[in-house]
Amino acid sequence: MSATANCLECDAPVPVPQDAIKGEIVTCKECGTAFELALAGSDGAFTLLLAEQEEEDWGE
Amino acid sequence: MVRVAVLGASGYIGGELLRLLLQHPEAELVAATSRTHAGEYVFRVHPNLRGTTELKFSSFDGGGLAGSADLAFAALPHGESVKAVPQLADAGLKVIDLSADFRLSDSRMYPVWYGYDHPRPDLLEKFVLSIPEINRDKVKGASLVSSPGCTAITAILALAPLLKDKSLGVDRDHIVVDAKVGSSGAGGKPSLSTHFSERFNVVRPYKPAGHRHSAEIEQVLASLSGERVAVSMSAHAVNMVRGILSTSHLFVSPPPKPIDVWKAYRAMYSGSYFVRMVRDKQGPFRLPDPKLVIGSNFCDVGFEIEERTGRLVALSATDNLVKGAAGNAVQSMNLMLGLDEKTGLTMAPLHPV
Ligand SMILES: NC(=O)c1ccc[n+]([C@@H]2O[C@H](COP(=O)([O-])OP(=O)(O)OC[C@H]3O[C@@H](n4cnc5c(N)ncnc54)[C@H](OP(=O)(O)O)[C@@H]3O)[C@@H](O)[C@H]2O)c1
Ligand SMILES: [Zn+2]
Repeated sequence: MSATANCLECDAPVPVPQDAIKGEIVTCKECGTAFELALAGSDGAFTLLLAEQEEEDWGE
Repeated sequence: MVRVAVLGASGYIGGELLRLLLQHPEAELVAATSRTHAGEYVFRVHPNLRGTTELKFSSFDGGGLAGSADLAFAALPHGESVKAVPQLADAGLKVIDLSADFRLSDSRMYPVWYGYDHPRPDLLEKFVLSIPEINRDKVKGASLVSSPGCTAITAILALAPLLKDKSLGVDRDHIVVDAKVGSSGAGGKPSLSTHFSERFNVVRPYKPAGHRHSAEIEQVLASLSGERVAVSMSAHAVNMVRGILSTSHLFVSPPPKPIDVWKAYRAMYSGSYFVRMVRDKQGPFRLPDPKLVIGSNFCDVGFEIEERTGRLVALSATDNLVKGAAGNAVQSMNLMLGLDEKTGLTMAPLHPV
């Protein structure tokens, strides 16, 4: 995978830092969805996995 | 520099036009008309403008303006604009009308929605209803432009991409727009219903059915989708001074995936600075809220999907005096003059307000 991946929620490009490591959390700038970087294969490229996100309750 | 005049400059929209035009780098404000305040400094009526201009209100003189101005904004009540604007158009001025008098392309709609026969159907054909995010190419070539109603443009910006993208399969016969509007939407003229004791703290359904702006919304959406579209709208007066929140309900079977709705919005708005997509997964500011656009020309747009019922909720928020009126009009002027559409309009919203 290149230095960007597409957000699974909104399809916006999500930059993956050069020095990223497996398990690191990246967040989509457009929609705020958090992803965990997972290894896609043996070549060290990363893929996005939906990260556990705490459901905050803003309702009244 | 373009020499501009504002008609109806003592009203709320007129005042907002003055505020924007006074800090516009390519516009020279040459006249601000008012019947009741002619001869007075404009800052006596619009106190926020004290120290920014020495301009005084003047009486409207259609012929006189033709010599001193290149472009006129008309911020008069509907039914009055239709008397003043033809004088300017016939004299060759560029005109941007903010009333409803030149928004509907079909003159037969005026007796239905506004209760009068349109005296100049020939001019209606020449006016472009300007929503730059949808028809900026048409606006660029126009010399006569009208700006939509504030609830109309707010709702349209949330709905347009969803009707244009046929692959979403939106039910065109059942679209419901629920609008919540601040008090400045009713203009600056006081009445019992706007009296503080009556207006403060209301959630007043003032037009639950048959809102006039439905006609503009249907006109724009039908031209985008190429088919008839039926829009039902309910409007409420709420406890804000500026701002509109439009909550639109659409029905789609089967319900779309969020990513497909995102793609439909991006396809239309990717190059549009003044539409911001707001659908955040984190924090308290997840969806459009008029509180977060006040003072700016932004329209924030977001959505949510209710899978169980096949409902797509499209939300949009504007400052009714800016993107809902004066800001959209100045953006349109920029396009008509061949300027960058953002010129003089890039101020960020106030926060907190
Ligand atoms: N408020 C909004 O959010 C909003 C948004 C979009 C579009 N609009 C449209 O913009 C226009 C102006 O709205 P507004 O909210 O600014 O209203 P407003 O505050 O009531 O201002 C109306 C202006 O028109 C002038 N006027 C009133 N009656 C007139 C008459 N019979 N002949 C000539 N001039 C007259 C008034 O000036 P004098 O009495 O001093 O002459 C005043 O300057 C309306 O067509 C409205 O539908 C309003
Ligand atoms: Zn995203």
